Amino acid sequence: MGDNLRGLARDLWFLPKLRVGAFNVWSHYFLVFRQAPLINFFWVSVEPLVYLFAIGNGVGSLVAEVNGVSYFEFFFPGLLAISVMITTSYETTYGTYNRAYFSKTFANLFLTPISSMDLLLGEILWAVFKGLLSALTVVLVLYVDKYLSLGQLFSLLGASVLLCWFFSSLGLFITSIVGSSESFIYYQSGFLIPMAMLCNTYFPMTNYPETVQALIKILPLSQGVFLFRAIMEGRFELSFYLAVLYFLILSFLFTNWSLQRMSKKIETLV
Amino acid sequence: MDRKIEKVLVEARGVNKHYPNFCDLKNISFSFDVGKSYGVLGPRNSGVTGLLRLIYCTAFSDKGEVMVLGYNAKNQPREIKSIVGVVPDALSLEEDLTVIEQLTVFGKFYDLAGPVVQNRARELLQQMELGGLEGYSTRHLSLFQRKKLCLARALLHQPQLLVLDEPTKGLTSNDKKWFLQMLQFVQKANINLVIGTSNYGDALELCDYILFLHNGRVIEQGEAKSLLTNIVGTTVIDFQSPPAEVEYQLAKFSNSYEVFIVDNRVRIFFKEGQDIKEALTKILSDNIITRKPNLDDIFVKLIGHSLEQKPWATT
Repeated sequence: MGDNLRGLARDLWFLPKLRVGAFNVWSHYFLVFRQAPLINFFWVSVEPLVYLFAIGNGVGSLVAEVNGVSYFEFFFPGLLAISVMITTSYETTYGTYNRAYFSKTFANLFLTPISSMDLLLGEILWAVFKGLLSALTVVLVLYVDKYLSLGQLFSLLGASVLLCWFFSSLGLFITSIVGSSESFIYYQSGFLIPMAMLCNTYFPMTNYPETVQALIKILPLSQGVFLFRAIMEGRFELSFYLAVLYFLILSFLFTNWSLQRMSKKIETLV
Repeated sequence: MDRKIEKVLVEARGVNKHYPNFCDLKNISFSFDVGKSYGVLGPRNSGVTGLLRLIYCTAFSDKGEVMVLGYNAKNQPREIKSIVGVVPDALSLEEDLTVIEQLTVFGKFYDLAGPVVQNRARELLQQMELGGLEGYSTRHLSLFQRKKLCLARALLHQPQLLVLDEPTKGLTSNDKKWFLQMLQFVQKANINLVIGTSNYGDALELCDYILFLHNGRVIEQGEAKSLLTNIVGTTVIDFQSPPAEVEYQLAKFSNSYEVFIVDNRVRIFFKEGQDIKEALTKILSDNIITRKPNLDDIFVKLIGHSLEQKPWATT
């Protein structure tokens, strides 16, 4: 057991090289993406905006105030985190699985002079891009509606990059362990959706008993929502930097772990 | 990138590779020279695709080394991929792209400038008789058109080595002829070919040297032309026999000739100088064929059954 852990630690301790190949993979996906801009527009942009107005304004009108701010202002950092999480997670779970096993994209691109690392880092880059696109629409609408200053807009986008990286690497890791695409349901309905509902998004965490609060707090989405709220409130304390560190370390580990595991799988693709 | 003048095209030294989804490779060693064309021949699931994948670096050996044009497959896969063109068996084309995009997108990965790729892509499409289909979606192409598009894509970056896996599988005889002629044209342009196939006719037509695989092992190799006469002989008599008499026929001829039974037919292999006429007088059958040996005879001799038979057999 100890040896296994030490072996794993050795496997995970490397700096993945971001070479031009990964960007070529990204630009390839961008080309395919451009073929159907409307589909992506609905999925990445329209959906979160509908949530924002239905829950934020609709349900929000029934609620007086939460933690001293309007329900809308309470809700949108949560929604931003949810839409970033869902978009990136989808991209490196169902999306990656589809490209690897059904649409032959992996088999295709892997004939070109790129390594499996380039291919997989391209996947992560692509998911980060899509997550940012989703964040950008929400943030821009809020900015136009004068809920944000320009500084807050960029800070939120910066923090979104962290979330995007984390959830894309975690998604890729999940893809590396599932046996079939049906198994993503466990991850989606057992982890992502519960987090989206419970992690300080639709209602404040203070509704829970303290032990549950402590548990919920360590979940990644809670940390993400915490980052966004801190940016909105301008509270850059130690806990803010700890949350940043949380994402950096976990993203790094999951990236390397998924690279290791997926590289082996790519060899068996036809 | 400097291109060294290499004499060895592909070299494998004691290669072992486990594949979960197809035949494992066991202790494979060979050396291919630059300037010749090579065939890797074997029945279905004999390890041909697995071996080719090690050459074009979409899989890597567990044990042993594969060298391609002086580069080590394990450490320098990107260098190898940039000088190798591949037409895989599973014609992996992206369904969402158009015919021309399929090529231009690939060009980017080889560091080719946009206009260069555009010109070269159009030129190749003309050559492959796919001109006029540039804006066509890949999903509407026929199998033959897909093969040609894959070949065009493999030639886009002017590779030094072209690897093809089952290039004529599923084609009609006319299309096959066209494709083989195109490959001969490619050969003339000094591009080395390595072809994996289960079709011995293709291998004979294109290859100078043939490597036989069976169950993931190299069971024979040699010059394509002399291989037949060396292993089989100069002539083969192939005649039908009633099932009950097969054993009798075997006993009757096996003293003086090499005899094999394939279904209810008896094959007698004649070496240089053996008397064919005399043997013919001893055969009582109304279905006798006298013919040149073919690669199927080699398989009958080496693994005990015809290529078309028992593809699942594991001996």
